[in-house]
Amino acid sequence: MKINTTARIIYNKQVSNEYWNMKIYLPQIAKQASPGQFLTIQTSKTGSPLLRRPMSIHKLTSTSIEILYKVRGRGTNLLMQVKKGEELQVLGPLGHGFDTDIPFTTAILTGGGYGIAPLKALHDLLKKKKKNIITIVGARTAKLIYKEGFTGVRVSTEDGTAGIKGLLTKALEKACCSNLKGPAAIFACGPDKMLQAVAGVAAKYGLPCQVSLEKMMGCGIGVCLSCACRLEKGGLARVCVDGPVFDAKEIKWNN
Amino acid sequence: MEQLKVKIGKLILENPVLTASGTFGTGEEFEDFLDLDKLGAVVVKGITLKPRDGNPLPRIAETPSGMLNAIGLQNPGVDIFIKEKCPVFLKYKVPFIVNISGYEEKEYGLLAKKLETVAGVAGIEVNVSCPNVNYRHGMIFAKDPLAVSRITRLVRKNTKKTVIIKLSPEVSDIKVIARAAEEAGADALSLINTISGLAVDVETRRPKIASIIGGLSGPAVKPIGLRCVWQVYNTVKIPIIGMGGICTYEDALEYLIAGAAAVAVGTGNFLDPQSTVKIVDGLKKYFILNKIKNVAQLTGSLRLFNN
Repeated sequence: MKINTTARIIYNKQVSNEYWNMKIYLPQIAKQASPGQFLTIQTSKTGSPLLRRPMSIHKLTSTSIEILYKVRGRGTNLLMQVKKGEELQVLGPLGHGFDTDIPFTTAILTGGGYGIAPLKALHDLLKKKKKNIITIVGARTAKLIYKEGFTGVRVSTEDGTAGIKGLLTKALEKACCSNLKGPAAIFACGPDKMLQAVAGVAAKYGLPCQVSLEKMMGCGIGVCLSCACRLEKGGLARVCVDGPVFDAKEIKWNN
Repeated sequence: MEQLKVKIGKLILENPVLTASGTFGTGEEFEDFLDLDKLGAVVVKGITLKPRDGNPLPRIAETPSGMLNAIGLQNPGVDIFIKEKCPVFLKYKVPFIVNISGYEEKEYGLLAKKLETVAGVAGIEVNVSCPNVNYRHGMIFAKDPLAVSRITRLVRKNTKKTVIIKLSPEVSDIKVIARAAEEAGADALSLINTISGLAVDVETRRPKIASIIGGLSGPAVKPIGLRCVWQVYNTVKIPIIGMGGICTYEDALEYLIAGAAAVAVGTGNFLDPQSTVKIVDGLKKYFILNKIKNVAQLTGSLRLFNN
């Protein structure tokens, strides 16, 4: 059941030169939430900016949810200023998350830039499930890399300032070619172009691949039809309720 | 609460708070947040004769105190809608009003006819004013009083259900259009649809939505909605459902005082999915506190300055 609630901030801190981390006390939402789902947060009480901001669940405990965000515009600027003990309007858990019940023993988590955000909650769940984890963290440049708390990390940057130089798919292919323990599955989040490329690699190596899409949203609950995405079988899906996590094969990528 | 009951066409609504088409799905999406039976009526997402995929992405952009959208009436088409969505309406006491759009005039008649025999459909809201659709003759019907008149007659001829005509504020004289709908047999009017606008991304120099122009909604349009309601209230006798930027019960009161018999919440549903029921509660308190006996006592009660 989706819950619309007022929630207290446990902390809100800068965790790298690019990213902020906010922990929110959300017992009712946390106990139902799963990795890959998201929240929408009202960043302003005065209606400016107007719309709620969708935020993926970065970490999950039984009573709290953490989000990881980059300060990009007015909404995240206001979010950055929220202090411990203050309250925000939060709606969640929204969408459907990663399916971890498929058969695999090694997970290749693939996050491009800010796309790393939802993969931490997934990482923690997979640790509990005793899966082998490889985490590929890619970004344009070293300062955009955030890998706190991940295991089996392989870094890739487009400008070569950290890790393997080139697109993240290069690091991903390398991982796919390595001696993987048992059957593997890819879980990815990032911009559409990156996800399309990741889906291509997954198809090449015959690995199951789940992608979490990022789209501009109006309502977050399936009614405004702003976050539509085309499906391979024809027709449209709503990223906010049918996703944000999809089997990569379902998506009809824009060329 | 008896004082909040209003009559729109043949319908007696428990209260004057409705949902604006396209912001509330078919209602089931809001079941986690509120009891639909606490609303005056549910106006569902617009449907067309044939299924529509809608417009390309991006379809939405945030603007100061508002948002632009060009969804383009994505919907499964009337036949699937009747088969899959309408049976659910029977689960509720609240009336469901179906919003219809046509690409050509005759489609409105066909849609009304198809819906006439569907149980659970209490009324029809006729959208002659969507700014995001390429109409056959290029111009939205709502700009032409003769087209509005013909479409209203056509729908009226094909249904005994309550007929509401939804008008655009983007006309040279909304009074003329409103009168045309009234004379052609409309039971009520919905005012206003979104107002077309543009937003630009300065980095890419692209429009923020792919269809370039979209419809503006949210608090930014409230004064325009209120102006239209006031002008039309002083022109026609049929009830007006006021909408445009309603987020709080005070917004709803403004519309009632300006001449609306009822109100609809649109973009407000995105900001707070419980805004409709919060508005109903706010109105109840206001009615008790100010000893208001019925909605009609407020409708059009704007006090003018006597200078």
